[in-house]
Amino acid sequence: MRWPRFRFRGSEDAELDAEIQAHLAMATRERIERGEDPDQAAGAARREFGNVLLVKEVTRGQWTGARLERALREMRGAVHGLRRAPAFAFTCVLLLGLAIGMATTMFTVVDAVLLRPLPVRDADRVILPRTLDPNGVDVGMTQAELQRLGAASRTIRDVAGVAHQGAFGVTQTDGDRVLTLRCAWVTGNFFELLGVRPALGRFFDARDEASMSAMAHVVVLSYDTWRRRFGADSGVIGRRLGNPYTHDQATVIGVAPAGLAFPAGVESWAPQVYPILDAVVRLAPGASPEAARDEFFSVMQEIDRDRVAHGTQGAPIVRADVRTLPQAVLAGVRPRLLVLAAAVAALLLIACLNVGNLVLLRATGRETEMAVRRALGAGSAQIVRPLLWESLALALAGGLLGLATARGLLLMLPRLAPPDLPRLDVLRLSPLPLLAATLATLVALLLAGLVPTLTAARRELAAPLRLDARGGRSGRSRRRWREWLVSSQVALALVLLACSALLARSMERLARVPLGYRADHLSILTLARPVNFDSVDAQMASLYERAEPLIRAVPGVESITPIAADPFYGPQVFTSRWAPAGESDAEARANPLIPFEVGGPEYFRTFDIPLLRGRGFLATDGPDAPPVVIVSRAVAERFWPGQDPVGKQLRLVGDTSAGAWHTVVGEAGDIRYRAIRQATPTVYAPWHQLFFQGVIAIRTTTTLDAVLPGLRQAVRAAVPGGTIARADAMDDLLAGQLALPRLSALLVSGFGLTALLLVAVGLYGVMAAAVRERTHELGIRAALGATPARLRRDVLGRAGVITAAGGATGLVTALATTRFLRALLYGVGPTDPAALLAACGLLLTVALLAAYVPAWRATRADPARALRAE
Amino acid sequence: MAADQAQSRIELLQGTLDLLVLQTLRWGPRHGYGISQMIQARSGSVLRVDTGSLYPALHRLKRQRYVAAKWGVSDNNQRVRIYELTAAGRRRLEAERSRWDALTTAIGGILRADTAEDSA
Repeated sequence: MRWPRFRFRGSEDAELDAEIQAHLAMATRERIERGEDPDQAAGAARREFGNVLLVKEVTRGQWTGARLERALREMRGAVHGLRRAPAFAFTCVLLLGLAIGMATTMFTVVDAVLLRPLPVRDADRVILPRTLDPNGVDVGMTQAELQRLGAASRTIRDVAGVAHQGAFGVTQTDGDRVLTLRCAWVTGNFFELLGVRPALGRFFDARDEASMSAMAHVVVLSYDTWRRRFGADSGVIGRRLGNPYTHDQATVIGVAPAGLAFPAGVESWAPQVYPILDAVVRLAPGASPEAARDEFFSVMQEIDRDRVAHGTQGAPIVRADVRTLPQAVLAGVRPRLLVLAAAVAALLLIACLNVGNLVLLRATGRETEMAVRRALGAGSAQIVRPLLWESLALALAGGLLGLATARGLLLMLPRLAPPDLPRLDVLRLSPLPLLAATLATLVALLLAGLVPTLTAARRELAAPLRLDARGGRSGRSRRRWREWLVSSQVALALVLLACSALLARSMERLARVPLGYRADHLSILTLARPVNFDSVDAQMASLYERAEPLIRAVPGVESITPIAADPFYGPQVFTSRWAPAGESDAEARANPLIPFEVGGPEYFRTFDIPLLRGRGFLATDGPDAPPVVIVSRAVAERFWPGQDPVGKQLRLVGDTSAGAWHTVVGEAGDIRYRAIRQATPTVYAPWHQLFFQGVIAIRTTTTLDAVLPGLRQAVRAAVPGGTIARADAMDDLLAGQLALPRLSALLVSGFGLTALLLVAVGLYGVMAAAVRERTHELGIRAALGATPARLRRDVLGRAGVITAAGGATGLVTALATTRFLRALLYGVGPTDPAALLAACGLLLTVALLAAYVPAWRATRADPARALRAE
Repeated sequence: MAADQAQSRIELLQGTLDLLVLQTLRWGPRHGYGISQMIQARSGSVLRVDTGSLYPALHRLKRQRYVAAKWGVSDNNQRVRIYELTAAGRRRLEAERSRWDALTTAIGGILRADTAEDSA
């Protein structure tokens, strides 16, 4: 690498040269005229003039551009110095680069997801009030109630509604392609209320609004979906997305701006008024969210009184809460991202301390050089300046490598990140995080490496120059400082390791959680056929009845059952409120909403859900047969604690007709089908008696891929236009659910292991340097009869003290900080002893391993050579 | 560090050297060598101007616009840089001179008081 020689004053330099040459020429001439020997006159004139270079140097110092030039020259010197120590420079730059890169990536994600404002006008003035039932479940409202709220409230300027269940996977066709988009059904004024500007095309308004019985004919895509699923093609405007059931089509009219992640996980919005809505409210000027909440609650209580008067089946409302739009959007990821950011900051700090230590070691090696320079009259500034430039060069090079690393990581991230991480579409590398990381690095480097060098140099001016200097005494304070640095690294690494151990254990718990059903060889399929809304139930039923024997005949298919829906919609949708015999509607109003599943005769066999009592579904549980249900254990405990539920009767709250009673014919296990983290009480009903929308589950003997072609053929043969709109192996769906916790656990573990490695390197370096510096002492002791084991024990003991001190600090810190992980943990307490012990054990083992090599080397100190050394 | 030492000497002599240079230029434009010879001659060879101070001083005065520099040819056909006093430099010289007078008067006063005491 060649550095350009900067000359800001090239001509001025030449002029100074000419001026001095003229001076010398005139002085020489005068000497000759005075009769001196021409041969010696030039030399004498030059001697009289003095040091030409020095004069030029000082004169240049008077020019304005000189400071910058000197800085560049010194920078060149620093780079040159670093190039003479390639191993040192390489290690430092690599460590710093990786750490800065990771930190920059993480900070960029935090900045994009948490800090960058939503593309919503006055986002903090948009609130999401909701009413809760006695079980803490939020209760939705109808569009009429929404309008009544808007009219009655003075704190509310405008109100829109989003479908109660949030964004919901909807299967759609795009030409030949079938895709499932999580669609949010919102009222027509949604975008207008938010005050968002489209990135492309236009938004819908109240005129585009459609009821649930008629499909919305327009749709708006999220920015991320437009980029990932439609290749960022601006020709997407006007594209028609089809409904595989109805063959209705909706036109793409616009693309929302990046970062509008509301409702959670949304990929498209349609102006379709769902029967149960959640309110999105823009506050009137001057109104506080709390005042709005109180007013909202009182209006909702009025509305609820009218609901009761009209014989509602809905839950009573007991309180209201309110979140601002940004809070709602970020609630799920904030703790996770903050933990990751803290972890990466700790890692960056460890890397800085580590490099600081390396700088310190290097300074120790140059201590004689510096003492000589000091003795020759160099000021502190001149001693420190090269070190300063070296640190700056390291930090800058680390920053550059960090930039490259961050760019790479940020390119990879959208591919790695699970879909439930919101707002990744606003992810962009901005200079601020990189600058922050690099600056932090520089400051840490200076503190760790330079300050001790300076103070030591000042205190022990001549020590390194003494002939009897053995390095033992003069280096003591510096060695202490180095040990302190390593000890801090140990402490930080222990915190990181404790966090990763906790996350890993919780991930393991989560992955092994008993689901209540068997996920392997289980697949979920969505069957579709052209239907019209008038007879959709009959058409879907006939689709299943015709497809079932054909699917069953496909080799590899073991069992098959209709089901209500794909997994993991959460416990809030596909629910119903039940009343056992003996409870009036008014009494049963406060009963919890219980998720329901539907199934056929092979439902329990296909899912491998244990039947605890009674029977499963039979082919005879048809549409006209007496209604039956099977309840899960939690439901049985809720309604008939301690009793056998078989033979008991249940009815849907609000249904007081004679045929309302469902007889319980069996009891089965609770399942984690709606959410992994939570086993839900479930009411199972025969599909003929509830509904079927085309979703089926099959158990296969081989993989889904192996049977899929046969399945497609079977469905095509069953009815005209029959297709499989979606097919997923249950294992993949589970993995998708675990992706975010797994990614966090992986990242933090990665940070933790990197930290461990850094600590090992740091400890090794410090112990090795200590042994090297004490060669003399060790040699004497060996000569005086100290056994190798004794010497080894000494070195290992010192390493043990350093590690133990750091470990103890780290353990205390970990105990104090891991509670911030609570939101991310599953089935593990934040002070789980096993996790903390594992972290300590791992750290101690690695530390002793790292110290063992220098310890062994200490015993190899040959007394004679050690004494002769120096 | 040697450069620093030279610089500290400039610091020490700065006011005086600047005054001498400006005063020398009052008698007409002159090149660097000429200035040093002139100062030496006029002081009866008591003052020898260190080139390590002279050229930095000249360049500093130029930056401060008290002197202007141009290239010219000397009596014996040598291409030289010639310095001359600017209007600002003239004012500066007056100010420096009165300060110098005040200083020498003050120091002289102190020294005389000393001799007066001795004789008393």
